Amino acid sequence: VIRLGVFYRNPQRPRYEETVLVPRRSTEEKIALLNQELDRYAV
Amino acid sequence: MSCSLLYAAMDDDAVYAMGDYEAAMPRWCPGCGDHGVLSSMQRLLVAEQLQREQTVFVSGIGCSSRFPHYVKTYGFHGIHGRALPIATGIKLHRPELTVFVVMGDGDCTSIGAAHWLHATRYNMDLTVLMLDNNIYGLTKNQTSPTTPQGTSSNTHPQGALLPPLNPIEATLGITNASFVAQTAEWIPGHLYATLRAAYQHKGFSFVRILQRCPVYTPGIFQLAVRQPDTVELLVHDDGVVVPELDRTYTKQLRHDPLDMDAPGAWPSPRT
Repeated sequence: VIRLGVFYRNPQRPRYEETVLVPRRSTEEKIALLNQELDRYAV
Repeated sequence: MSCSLLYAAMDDDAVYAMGDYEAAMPRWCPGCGDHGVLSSMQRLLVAEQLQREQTVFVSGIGCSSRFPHYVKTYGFHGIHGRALPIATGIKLHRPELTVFVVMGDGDCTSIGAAHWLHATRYNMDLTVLMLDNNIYGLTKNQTSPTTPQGTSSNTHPQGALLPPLNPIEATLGITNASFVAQTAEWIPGHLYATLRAAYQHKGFSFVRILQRCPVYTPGIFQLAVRQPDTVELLVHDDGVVVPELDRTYTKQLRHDPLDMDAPGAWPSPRT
């Protein structure tokens, strides 16, 4: 017997392109995040 | 408005017909299963009205890998076993593109086996067609990993020594597999419905297409072709349902595609 059809289908499985996706940020957001990081080392 | 913008606007409104996706005349042998797969794929392109400039076909090396030459979209006829790395690269850099991958059994399960394993695990949104004629055809009759045990070829004149690798069972066993299907070139309705389900799935859709090579493996699926009761269709609303086949293919099994454990409980051969 040869079985034909869909053996498995799960659309919930994680996709690589979504896992590594870097969210788009505006310039202001990037500067704010950068300042936030630099503030951690401010004396 | 510049000429290029004018053409872009016209293209957006275009309604594509079958001929709009036809490119060069296929060079495959008369009777080759590749012709049927190409027709079903062109039918899918029409049904989904895929924009030609937003669609890419990537292939490796082999008879089936001539596929990109015969579809009027973008294409990349790559190197042996490396269709999947090329396709994942395209998809990573141009995620808006629809990417199809066409490989043969030697291309995918032998030299490209490592890429097959990891591409399945990465689960990127690719529609992957593995055209399995159980032999290396382009290079003239060498044993492939799916060649049935005992089949004579140029590399094994006294018959293939090992039991064949089962691509469906292998793919089901890979971490993060998300779509695994099998269809056959001699049942066009099922082939088309399976390709469409694979295309509509968001993730790595692996479709093994059983097909005959009229030169080296003409009799390989003849029993299934002539006796439909040797074929069992897996049916489910989330899988493939083709009502027109009900009269011919009476042996059907209702299978929920979310149930990964079920195939393991089926009697051998499971696929």
